[in-house]
Amino acid sequence: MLQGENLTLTYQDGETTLDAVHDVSITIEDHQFIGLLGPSGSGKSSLLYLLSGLRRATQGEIYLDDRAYGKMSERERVALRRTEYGFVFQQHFLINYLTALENVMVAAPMQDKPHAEQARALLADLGMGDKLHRFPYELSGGERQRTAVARAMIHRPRIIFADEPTGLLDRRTGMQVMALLRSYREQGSLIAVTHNPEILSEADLVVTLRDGQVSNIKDRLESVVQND
Amino acid sequence: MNPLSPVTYYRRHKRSALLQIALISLATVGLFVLVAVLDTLPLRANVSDLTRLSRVIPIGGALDPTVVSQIQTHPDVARAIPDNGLGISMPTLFGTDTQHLMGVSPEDAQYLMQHCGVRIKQGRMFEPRSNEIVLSEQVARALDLELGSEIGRAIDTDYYEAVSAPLVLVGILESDTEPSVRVGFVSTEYLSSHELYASLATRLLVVAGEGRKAAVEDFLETTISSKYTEVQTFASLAAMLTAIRVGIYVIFGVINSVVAVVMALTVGIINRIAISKRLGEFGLLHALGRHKKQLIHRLTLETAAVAGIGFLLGLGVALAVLSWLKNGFFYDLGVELYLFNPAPVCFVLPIPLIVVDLTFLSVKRIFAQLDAVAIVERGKLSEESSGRKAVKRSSARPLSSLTFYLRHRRRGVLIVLSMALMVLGITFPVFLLSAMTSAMIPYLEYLQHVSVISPVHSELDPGVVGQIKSHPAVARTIPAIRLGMQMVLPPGGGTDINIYGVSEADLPILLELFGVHVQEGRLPRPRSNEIVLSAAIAANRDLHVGDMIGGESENDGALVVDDLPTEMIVAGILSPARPWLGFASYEYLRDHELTASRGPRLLIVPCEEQKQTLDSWLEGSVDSTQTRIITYAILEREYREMTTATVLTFAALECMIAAVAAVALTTLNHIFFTQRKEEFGILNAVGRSRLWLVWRTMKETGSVVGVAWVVGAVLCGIGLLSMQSLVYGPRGLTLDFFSPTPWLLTLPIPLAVVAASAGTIAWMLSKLDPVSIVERRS
Repeated sequence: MLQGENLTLTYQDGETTLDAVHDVSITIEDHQFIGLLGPSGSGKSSLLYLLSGLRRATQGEIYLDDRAYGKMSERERVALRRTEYGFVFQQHFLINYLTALENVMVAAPMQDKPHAEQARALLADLGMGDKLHRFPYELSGGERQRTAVARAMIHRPRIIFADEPTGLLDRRTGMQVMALLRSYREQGSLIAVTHNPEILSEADLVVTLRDGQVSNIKDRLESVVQND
Repeated sequence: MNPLSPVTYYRRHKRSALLQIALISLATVGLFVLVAVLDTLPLRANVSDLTRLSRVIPIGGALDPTVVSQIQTHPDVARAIPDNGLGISMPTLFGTDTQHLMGVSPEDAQYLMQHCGVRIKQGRMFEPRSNEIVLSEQVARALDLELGSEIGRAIDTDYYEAVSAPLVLVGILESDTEPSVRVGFVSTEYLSSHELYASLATRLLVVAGEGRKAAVEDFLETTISSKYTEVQTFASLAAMLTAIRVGIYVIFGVINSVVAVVMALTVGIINRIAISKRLGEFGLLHALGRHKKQLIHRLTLETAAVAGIGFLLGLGVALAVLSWLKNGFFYDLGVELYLFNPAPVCFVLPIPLIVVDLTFLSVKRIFAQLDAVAIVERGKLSEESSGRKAVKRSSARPLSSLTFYLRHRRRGVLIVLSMALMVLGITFPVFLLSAMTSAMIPYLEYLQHVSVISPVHSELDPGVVGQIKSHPAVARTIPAIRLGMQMVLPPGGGTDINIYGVSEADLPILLELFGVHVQEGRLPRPRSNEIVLSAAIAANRDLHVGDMIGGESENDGALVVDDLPTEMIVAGILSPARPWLGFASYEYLRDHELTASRGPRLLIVPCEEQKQTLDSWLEGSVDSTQTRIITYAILEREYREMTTATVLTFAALECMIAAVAAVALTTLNHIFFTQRKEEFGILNAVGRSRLWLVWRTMKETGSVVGVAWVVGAVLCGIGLLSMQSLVYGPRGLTLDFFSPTPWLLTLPIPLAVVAASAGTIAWMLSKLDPVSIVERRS
């Protein structure tokens, strides 16, 4: 279980102090699909970075089970990202001189043949079996993002953090990528950030943020849309 | 204001401009200072007393009165002054240099001082018949002498070996016209009346009439120079120093060229990266009607501006550094460092030229593919694929150094080649230098079997000889008259070899002692002008049985100066090739007019197992002001001191080059890593720690540097093998491939590159924020 308590993230913009996230509490149970919804600048990506350990909270605390981020060293938090979490960003961020298979292997626990086979199988499951040895610039946008999804899954993380994973894709490809991510719920949790409510149709919980604060928490997207 | 001018571009891209200027300046400073400092050695010709007068020296006795009269009556000669002076040594950048103290009367000294443009600055002129000397201030400063200081063999045998009785400095001279003149005077009456100096040969100092120096030098060289008379003129000194200078330039020319090319490559790559970032700008300008030629011209002009500024700045800094060295280190050494010497300029001028040429060629190649539409639409240079080739298999270790460099072959090859060239450029000259210095070892080897005592001036003290003969560790003493030959050491050096004239009875004993035998020909006949030489010397000088050498027969190159006053016939060749030694007939040399005056040395053969005891006794008890002791330990110590000084000097120069090279290669490496910032950001985001990233890049740098070092070593090995088979082997010399010193001197560059790369990358990664990268805020 991942739990954030009274989280605040403050940015300094010149002489002005801005709260990207203000006093947000959130709990993510195992195998849950959580959607973070909100317009640009609402603080949803910042909350994702806090929960994934990429940013340190200015105030509040985050617990993975009983381990508090605040008591972890930078090294421990990095190790957490490597072993327990997976990431999919709006842009694919694949390494341009590595093939699709090698890009997936980057996040594998070990760089050896058994893990290479595992990565190969995973990419094949994601419909990339014939493009394993292609470089990123030889792939389409959807293929690149599917490779990024495979990279997030290869080490079987407990939670996948997806930040606008369909933001640069067309609708059809975006829905395919979300289907892939949703399928991971059997193995772990998924936290997806988006400003597009449509891709959260199957989320267990949708948290809406506005100006860094939670404006709404609903079990079903329909109710979120209605309330908004 | 022209928005497309180089000034506008660099005003808006100060960091890129500063980096390029700094690199070009650094290379300019390093090479300019290096060449200027090395050039002080041959520049000695400009400060010697030979610039104003010539010397005529008797060989093996006194000057022929007819020769003296011939010189004195020559219409172009203003004055010929007898000089029974002696030589001292003084420190130079590399080891020591001989300085002759002219033994003349106070009146003649005044005349010579006026002629050489010097006058008393401190103290006074020496008194006749006194042990007083006057020295020019550069000589006094180099020897750390002040008024009242004493010089003598007892004080320092290295610098004052020939000064058997102490001399006192009473006057310091300064020059009216020259920034540095090296002269010294001592009383002729004192020297001729002193028992230890009475045997010094009298030479003639020849002063030419106004504007007649060239004519006098020509007269001396063509008419006076003979097997009985040596002539030293400015022209002959200048010729010798020119040969040294060529040798220096050959060695350092290689290093300079390598540094210049690597520096030019680095700046060229920085430019290329900058150009690739500006493709949009060029595509747009091309689309708006700028011709490719105009764009190429503009970019070349931008580079030329930066290269020019960097070059001029480098020259300015180099002159400032040289000025500092001139007034500090070189001032203390008494050496004049000429700031406005054109030679270093010739060495550094190629740097900006290569940079501009390389940029021009690179830009031309890039712009040949320029497609305005492709750039504006897709940010690509052209429609043609410029990416890396497709691969058939992926690697199971995508983050390994091997995978990285397999996918970045050009980058890897560039760094490997640059560094390999550096390693080659440095190792190769050091090996040659090392070969030249280690050539002394075979020359010393005979001293492992015998010890030698030699008279400082004329004859050995009979008391000392008797003392030695009666010592229980002495098995036998062998009188020997020494001649000398030189081994030629490419690319431009030589080393002395002893040729001992020993009696017919003693020669077989020495051959057995040294473990050599006649391989070809026979031993010299008594009272004949025959010599036998070790096979190495014969090979080195291309001598065969029956060949003539010495006297007025032809020499092998300008740097080879044999001490063979009479013509000798090679009667035999000794095997094995070591020790380097030769033998002649004692009786012949004793009776010959040109060698009769040479006081015989004594070769001392120790009793079995008594060599150490004998040498200790000789060094501790026998050495005196009239006797020079020559043992293996003494000469080996001198050799070590000389090689250490040479290696240290070279290492200092090396560090300068290594610093320049390391900065260039590290900059290159840093630029390559900066381009990978996004990769590092994403790896950090997915759970790779900063330490891991530093370690990975260290491994990448380390592996490529290691490969470069090996490639450099292999190239060096190939070069050395070629040198050995083509140059050194035929000269009877063996390059010591396994000498650690040259290899150790190659380490600073790779170590500096790895350390500097690790430092800059660690610093870069310490500021890395993965979130800003995934958010594209950089």
